Amino acid sequence: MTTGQAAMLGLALAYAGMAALSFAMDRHHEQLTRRREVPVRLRVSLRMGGTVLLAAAAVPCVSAWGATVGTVAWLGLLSAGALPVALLLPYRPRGVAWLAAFAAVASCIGLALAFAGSLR
Amino acid sequence: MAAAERKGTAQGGFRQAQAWLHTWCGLWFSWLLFAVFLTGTLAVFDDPITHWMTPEHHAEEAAAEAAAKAAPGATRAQRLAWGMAYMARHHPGAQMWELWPSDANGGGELKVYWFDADNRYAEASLDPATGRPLSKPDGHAARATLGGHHFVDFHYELHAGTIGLWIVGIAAMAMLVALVSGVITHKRIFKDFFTFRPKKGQRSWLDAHNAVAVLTLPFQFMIAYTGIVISGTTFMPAGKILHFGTGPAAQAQFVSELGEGGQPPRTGRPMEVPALEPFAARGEALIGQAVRAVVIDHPGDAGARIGVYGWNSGDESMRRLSPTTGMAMFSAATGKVQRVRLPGEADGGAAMLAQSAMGGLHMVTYGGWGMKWLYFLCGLAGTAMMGSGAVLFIVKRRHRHLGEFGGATARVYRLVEALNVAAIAGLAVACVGYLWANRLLPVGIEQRAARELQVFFALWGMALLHAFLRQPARAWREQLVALAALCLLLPVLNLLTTGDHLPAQLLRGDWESAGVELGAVAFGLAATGALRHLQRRTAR
Amino acid sequence: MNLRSFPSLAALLLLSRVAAAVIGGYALAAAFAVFLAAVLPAGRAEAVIGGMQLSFVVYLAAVIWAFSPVPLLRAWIGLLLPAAALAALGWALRGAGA
Repeated sequence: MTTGQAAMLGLALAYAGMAALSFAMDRHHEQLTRRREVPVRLRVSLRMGGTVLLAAAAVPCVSAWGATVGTVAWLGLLSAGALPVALLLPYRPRGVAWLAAFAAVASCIGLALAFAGSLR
Repeated sequence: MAAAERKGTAQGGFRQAQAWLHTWCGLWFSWLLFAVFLTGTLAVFDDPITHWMTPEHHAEEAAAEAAAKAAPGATRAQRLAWGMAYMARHHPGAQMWELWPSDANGGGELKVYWFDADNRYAEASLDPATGRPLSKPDGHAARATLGGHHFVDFHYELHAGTIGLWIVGIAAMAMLVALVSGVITHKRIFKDFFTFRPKKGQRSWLDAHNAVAVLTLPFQFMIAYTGIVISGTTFMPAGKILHFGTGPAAQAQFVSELGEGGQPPRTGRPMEVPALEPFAARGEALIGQAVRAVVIDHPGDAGARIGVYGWNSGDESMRRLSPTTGMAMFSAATGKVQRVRLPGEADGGAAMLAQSAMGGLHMVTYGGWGMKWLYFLCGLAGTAMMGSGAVLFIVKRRHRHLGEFGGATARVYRLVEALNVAAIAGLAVACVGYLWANRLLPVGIEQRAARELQVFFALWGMALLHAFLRQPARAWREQLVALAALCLLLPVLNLLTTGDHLPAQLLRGDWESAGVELGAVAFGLAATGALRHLQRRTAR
Repeated sequence: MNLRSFPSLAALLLLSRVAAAVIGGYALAAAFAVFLAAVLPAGRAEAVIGGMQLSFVVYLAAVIWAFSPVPLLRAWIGLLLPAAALAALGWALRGAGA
């Protein structure tokens, strides 16, 4: 995997994960759905899913940059993924959600392809 | 000051004390730190900026590249022999000869270096096809400029030598204090993680300040700490002084015990420098890298030492934090290996390795372009953190005087407002103005590089004056207009002065020039956005 | 007495606390650097570098601590006394770590 591909994959996963974590919070869930509180089951699944996505972002990073630099890249991409969430939520909460869903799906496919490629 | 009275008494006083510390430590250093951060962020792309600022070199570079591909010139052995012959003829008494025979592929330039009579680094370029010295490129054809390196130099020492280094170091320490006190003060740091409420005045500024800071916090801590540690022995010489003493002898002892090893002692017995190619070949094999440089200490003496240094490959730079290259030292007389340093290793133990890695971390020598862009983004966030903090200070006090300075408070606020404009908009104007100076100053004038620098400082000084003479709102508007205009019109300036433009750059694959111009346009759009925000605010 | 030209007591106390943080903090950090250089399990020069690297963290902690609810006198003593002790220890132990 080239570093460019890894950066895109990592960024997509980080963004999707950060978005998920944000919607697990009452304040931002309300921005999206107009409902005051996040149902407990949804909060737990969003938190878990978000955490998994954030952790998954480390995979392309370490794969392309090696362990040490990959960890640094991962931390940087987490920040790069979080900033647009915070910036766009007050303006387009639904846009943030749709983009996050798309990013999650696309990056999972991307990861799967990368793994399949490396297994062959 | 209310907080001062509360300090040391109330239990919940810790957070209040930290809030006080954050406000004032942050504010007084915000303007300097903004400048250090903005120039540091631009310094990430110092080479592309230098490339844009030296348009006459483009043709030269392209020709050199084509020539290198067509005929790689002589072999390394031949290049080394020519280099040695040149040095033996022209600088036989020098304490050190440094030969750079080729690039990583065995082609490219052949250069030699030594220390001249004033102990300054001197260089000469030899023709890789004939070994004859190349005359310096026509000084009138290419413009003299510091290029993007101005931003690097300003960033770490304000173009002011050791004093500048200390000032920046103190500011960096203040930044660390502001970061920690900010985190302590930020009660709901997790709850407010993604919170940004626009169009709500003071609250929006606070949200923005929190968001850019918290979301990039690991980077901010890392960059401030590594920045300090790189020059750490200057800022904290206590350990060295107490355990080694002061003076050049102590310094030499310190350096040699670190494993960096100064020059070996002279024996006084004359000995011709042996052929370098065998050493180069052995060195290359030992370190596993193509030869970058061959350095001879005490050439002509029996105690001479030959050091072979390697090129870090792209992959090595990508995956390793420590930027040190491979190195092999040989005794010239016996040919014995004295020391081998593998790529990435440090001359020394764990602390020196950490030092090297932290240097790499700060200067983003690793990770390729992707990493550079991440640093650019986080650098901009840090810059925004400081700018928004300074603006927040004033916005908060616009409607409610907090009287921190008694009768003088209003004057202090006025000072802060003016400094905000000059430090934020004014500095940005100076940065882009520096690029304008590069295109507008006549190519052949004396001290051209210094003149470009003078334009930078003059613009900044004028911005400061302007900020004091105008009312804050007007000062902001006028400087932002200047900023937007200079940024957005930079591509037009380039077209009018050099005939080059974005489509041409993209067509020939000149990403560096295109990046600089597109970057300038992006900054111009941001300045325009800020102007629109100002308009809306005054209209409200 | 013209009160306006005389800095208030609160301002002087504050200045003293800032001085404690900046000067006392640096003293403590330098003392740590000296002490660590003596006791870190590495060559003398290596330990000097290691001590320097950690000293800035100490400086940061010292400044933060000086701006906590501690009485002003305790802030000064709390920084200068350990600094003197560590510096003395570092001096006494020099050459011990290598």
